[in-house]
Amino acid sequence: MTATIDWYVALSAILFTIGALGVLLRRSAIIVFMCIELMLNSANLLFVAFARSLGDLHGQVLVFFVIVVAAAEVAVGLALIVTIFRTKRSINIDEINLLKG
Amino acid sequence: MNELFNLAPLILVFPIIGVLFNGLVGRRFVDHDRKTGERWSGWFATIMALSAFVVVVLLNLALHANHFHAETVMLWDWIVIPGQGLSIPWAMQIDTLSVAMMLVVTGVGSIIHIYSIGYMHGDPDYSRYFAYLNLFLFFMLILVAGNNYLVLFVGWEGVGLCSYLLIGFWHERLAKDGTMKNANAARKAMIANRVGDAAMILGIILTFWVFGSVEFNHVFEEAIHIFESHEEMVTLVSTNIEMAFSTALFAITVLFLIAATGKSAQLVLHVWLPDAMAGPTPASSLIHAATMVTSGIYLIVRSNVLYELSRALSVHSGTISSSDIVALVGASTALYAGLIAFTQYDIKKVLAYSTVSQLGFMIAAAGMGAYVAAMFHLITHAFFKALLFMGAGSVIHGMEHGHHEVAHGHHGHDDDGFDPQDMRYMGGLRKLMPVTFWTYLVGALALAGIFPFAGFWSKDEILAHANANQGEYGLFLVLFILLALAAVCTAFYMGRQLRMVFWGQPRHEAARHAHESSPIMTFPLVLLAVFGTVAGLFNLPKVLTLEFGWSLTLEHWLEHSIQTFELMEEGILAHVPHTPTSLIVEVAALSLGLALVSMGLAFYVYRDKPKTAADPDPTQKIPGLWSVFGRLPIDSFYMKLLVPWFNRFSAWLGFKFEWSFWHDFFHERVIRDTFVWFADLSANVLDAQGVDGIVNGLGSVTRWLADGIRVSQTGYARTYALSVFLGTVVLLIYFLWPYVMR
Amino acid sequence: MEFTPPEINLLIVAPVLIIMAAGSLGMVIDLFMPDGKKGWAVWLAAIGLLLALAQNIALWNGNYETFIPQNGVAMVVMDNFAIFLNATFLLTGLLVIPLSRSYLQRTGLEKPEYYMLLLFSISGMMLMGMANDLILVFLALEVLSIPLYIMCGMLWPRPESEESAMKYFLLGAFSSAIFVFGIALVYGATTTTAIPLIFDAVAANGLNAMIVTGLAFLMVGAGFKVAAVPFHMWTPDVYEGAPTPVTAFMSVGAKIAGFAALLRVLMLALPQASGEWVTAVAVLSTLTLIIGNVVAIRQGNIKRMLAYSSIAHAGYILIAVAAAADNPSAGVSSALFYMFAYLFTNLGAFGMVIALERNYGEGNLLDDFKGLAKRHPWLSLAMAYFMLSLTGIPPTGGFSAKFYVFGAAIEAELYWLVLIGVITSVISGYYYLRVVYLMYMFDGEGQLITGRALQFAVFVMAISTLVLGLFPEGLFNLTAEATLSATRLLAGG
Repeated sequence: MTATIDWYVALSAILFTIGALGVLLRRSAIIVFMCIELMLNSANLLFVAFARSLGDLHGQVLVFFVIVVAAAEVAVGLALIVTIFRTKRSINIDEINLLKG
Repeated sequence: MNELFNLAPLILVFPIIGVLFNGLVGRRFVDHDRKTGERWSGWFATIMALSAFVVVVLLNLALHANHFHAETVMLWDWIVIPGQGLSIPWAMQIDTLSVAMMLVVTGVGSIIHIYSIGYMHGDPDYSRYFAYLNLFLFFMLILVAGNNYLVLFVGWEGVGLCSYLLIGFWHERLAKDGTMKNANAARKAMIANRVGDAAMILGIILTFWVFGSVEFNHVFEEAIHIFESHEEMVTLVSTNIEMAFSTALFAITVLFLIAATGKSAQLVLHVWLPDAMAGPTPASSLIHAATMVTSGIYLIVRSNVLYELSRALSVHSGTISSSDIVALVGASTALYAGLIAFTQYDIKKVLAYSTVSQLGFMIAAAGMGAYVAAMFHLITHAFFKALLFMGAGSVIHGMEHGHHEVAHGHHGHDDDGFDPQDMRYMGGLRKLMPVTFWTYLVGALALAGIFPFAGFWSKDEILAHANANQGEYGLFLVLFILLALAAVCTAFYMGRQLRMVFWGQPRHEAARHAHESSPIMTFPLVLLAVFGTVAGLFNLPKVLTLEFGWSLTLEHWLEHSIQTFELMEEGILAHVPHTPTSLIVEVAALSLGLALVSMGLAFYVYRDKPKTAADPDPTQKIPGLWSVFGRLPIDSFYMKLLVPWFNRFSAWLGFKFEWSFWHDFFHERVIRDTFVWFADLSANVLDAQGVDGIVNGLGSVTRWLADGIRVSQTGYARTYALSVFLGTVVLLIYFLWPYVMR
Repeated sequence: MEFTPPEINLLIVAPVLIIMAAGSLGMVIDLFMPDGKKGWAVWLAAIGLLLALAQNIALWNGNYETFIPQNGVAMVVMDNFAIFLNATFLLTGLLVIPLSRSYLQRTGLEKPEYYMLLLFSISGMMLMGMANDLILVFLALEVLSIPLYIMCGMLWPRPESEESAMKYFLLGAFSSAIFVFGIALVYGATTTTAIPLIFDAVAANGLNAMIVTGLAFLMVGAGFKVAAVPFHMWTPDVYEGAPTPVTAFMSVGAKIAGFAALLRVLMLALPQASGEWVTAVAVLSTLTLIIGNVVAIRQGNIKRMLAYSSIAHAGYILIAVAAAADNPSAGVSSALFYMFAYLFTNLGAFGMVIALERNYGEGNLLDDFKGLAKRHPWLSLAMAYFMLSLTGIPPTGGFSAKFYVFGAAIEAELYWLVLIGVITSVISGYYYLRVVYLMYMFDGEGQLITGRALQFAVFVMAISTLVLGLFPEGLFNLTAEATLSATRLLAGG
């Protein structure tokens, strides 16, 4: 049985959902952030799969853009998490709720 | 069109320059240097008046060159409403009638300006006076020059304003009993005129409704057209309302008559004119004797077509025509005012009632269809009445100076109720004020209708007209009798006045010390006296069969403006009263005889009475004269009955109807109490059960909603992510639903 | 599979390059400058913005394209639509700078990085306006967002600032991931990410489930940036916690950029799906209007109130977007007009908030406005005027904007949406005018800290609002031209 494009789409959908649920359910900022990376990578998987199945180079190029962006986000995100940890001694996002209402 | 016609706007420009000069800077000139300032202020205004006069003379020449054909000088479109067919231009109609009026206005006006320079000397509001005088000229010229009723009305209101301003010129001066005599007189004039003005504007509106225009020429052409086509009904412009033509014409002409009774002081709106003597005497002489008060006559003469058509229509139907009413009003006023003049002591009041009486002559003449005679009398009257007023002014001036000297001579001299205008304190001024006396005599004889002075000719023409048509028009006999009696009265009260003022012994120290006025005041008197003597030449009738080159000048002059029904053949001509062109010797002899006898009688009756100022007047023995006319019946009716009842009615409206009923009862009891009851009900009954929720509902629901939503704003990032996630899911379901269902 | 380098004309993207170059230059200069010297950064940023603005305006009516790969469809277009948006972003930057200066000094934030990050963020926004390819839209979204995450947290170790940055970052990244997944789906369905080609593909093959799924994800991503309900919840917290000038900048710049993305996607890539998205947009708009305006009533903190107000205004712009489905020219141009007018009004209001804030987090309460009118009559008058403009009372730019938006919606027969817009405008009067009421009717101790730069900027914005209120025609014509050029490109592509 060959893996058709549908399998890839399904896989990335599942990855995306796992990522999204992780964002909703996990409390550690680091893990939430990693879940977001997972969502991005599910999109990357989709790009590559489509590029492959459609025989179009563009999709593969786009992946690089997404990876670059993800890297930039990691740089900023980790810095933020570190600063917060310094102040609060915690990276539990449920403890970050000074601002509400 | 002769190029001189283009000068016409200048007759308005010159006076308004004078107004601006005296209104804006005149006062500074006067305040800065009294002597030079007065010279500037007075002469500037005078020169503006004279310039206007010169322009009018040029227009006169232009009319000659134009073979007396009327010209319209269009200035601009004034009121234009395209859809409604309303287009009223601001245009001047230069025809023989308007130019005749302009000549009187600017001519007499200029003379009075000169006189005023002397008369107003030393007055603190010197320049204001001249500003008003020039403003009056401006509006009066608008009135006579306009080519339509609306422009005429602008002038009409404007001269009314000037009259008000000049009557109240010394508004701060109080009467002896502390009332605001002058201010009240000004208000009285304003109110009486308002009644007439209201009728005037109604008449103009009706004119437009019936004829679709307010321009004289269009209105008259249209009126003649309707008359000739024997249409019984007319449709009012822009409406579906139909109206009988005769009714419409009657209404318009009667409304114009009411307007004229206001402005020209006829029964029953005449009451303001005697009080108007509170203004400076030259202003009285210009506005309240020579010019403004004649604008009612001008209005009727100008509308002669309408009045003649009204007469013709009523002959058909056998009812009384509006022209007849005009004539009756005029003749009754002439007699009524003449009788009142018997009972007056104030030198100016006598002249005022005389003016009312003479205006009655003119109105009567216009009502009888003797338009030329009316205009003729208007012109001669303008000269001799202006002369008399200014003579009276000179006398008053002399008396005041005399009183001044007396007061200086006798320190602590007790004021014995002296009034410089009261004839009882005068007497024997003949020798002290010779120029004034002689000119005054000329004026008085002219007014009394003594041959050969101007008044004789003009008054005689009116009487002749009434006499000549007696057979055809039954009413004219009544008119003739009324007018003849009025003429007798005129001669009598003028005789009384001459005798009391200039003959006999002075009845007061002031009269003994009176002296002649300055040349700047006596020169205009002499000038006007000349006109008062010879003005009859303007329209000299044929004597028997003799005809002079001068004869009927005015008649020929005016026949170009006053509708020439002669041009129209059968139908109309038969119903127009004819004016005899030659002197009717019997009538002339009768009127002259009556005048002479009456005047002689006056001199006899007052030969040595009253001896002192306190003596009763000899005519008080005549039963009914003083008890009825001396009490000014119509004034009394207004002041004792109408005004109190009006005030009572106003008070009733104000206190009872408005306050007690409308405010206290209706507003407080009905509306407020109902509201309070309802509010109580709402607050205590409904509100308690939650109307608050409906009234303030939106607010509290919003607040409640806001608080509810705020709770979801937990501050947890995961909640926010959930919101995004759920939003995404809902969107996905919405977008994918059609595909799933397929 | 070959790869040929695209055609590139850098002159066309010069406005962005100038901004990026200025930003990078600043970073470098900062290395060599002694710590005490800080003033240069302001001038560098301002000059960069001005130069970019000049170059940007010079390109008006050019309809340039560049970065053209072998498929012949440019990734970057410089049509009037892009130029108009670029001008909006550059003006935002130019107005934020004078508002920031004294605030930054007060809060100890005066670092060259602030201005550099501002420039980088603006460059991202500009890219968004010019993007003709979804992947570029995504890149632009990130380029504008990442500096904003940092700016929000610049006041560390103040916990509110950090919290603001953290929330913004996590949720922003989350929405970016959704957005990029949407792009992947659209790519899979149409074999392309170039906007005109997506349009062609849909025209040729019609819609399918994958495209509309992608569309939904794209709408979520853009909806997050514009703060449309229910993707709005980050807004109040982030706006409150961020340094106020950053809030001001975000509330205008990021929102407009988000709408640029939304318009590109909805109007240029997938207008043929308008039957699908118009109802969704209208419902989002309704929710946004109601929730934004209603919750704003109960806010005691002016920054939070303005945050909800900015949500509400996103709702009004969404009305225009919904109207654009039926009536592209009126809808898009009224949206552009609304954003341009909103720029001046909202920045002006934030200018006053900045002036009122004594130190970070102090003086942000509505009660702090009490009695300001007595001490600062002119600025209070300006504030009152901005509040009127935000409410939409004539003669203000806010009124003209609402007028055009409602007009477009009526033409598109979205009567119920207009009705909701009008009702919520009335509700909004309650909280906007309360500020005026507090300023004029009460006594209080509040003091404004104003420099000449801030006063000048507020004055400029008040005048601009007035001009837009009195003479909206000129700007409306510009927005119409901008719309026309974008749709013409669409037709040509």
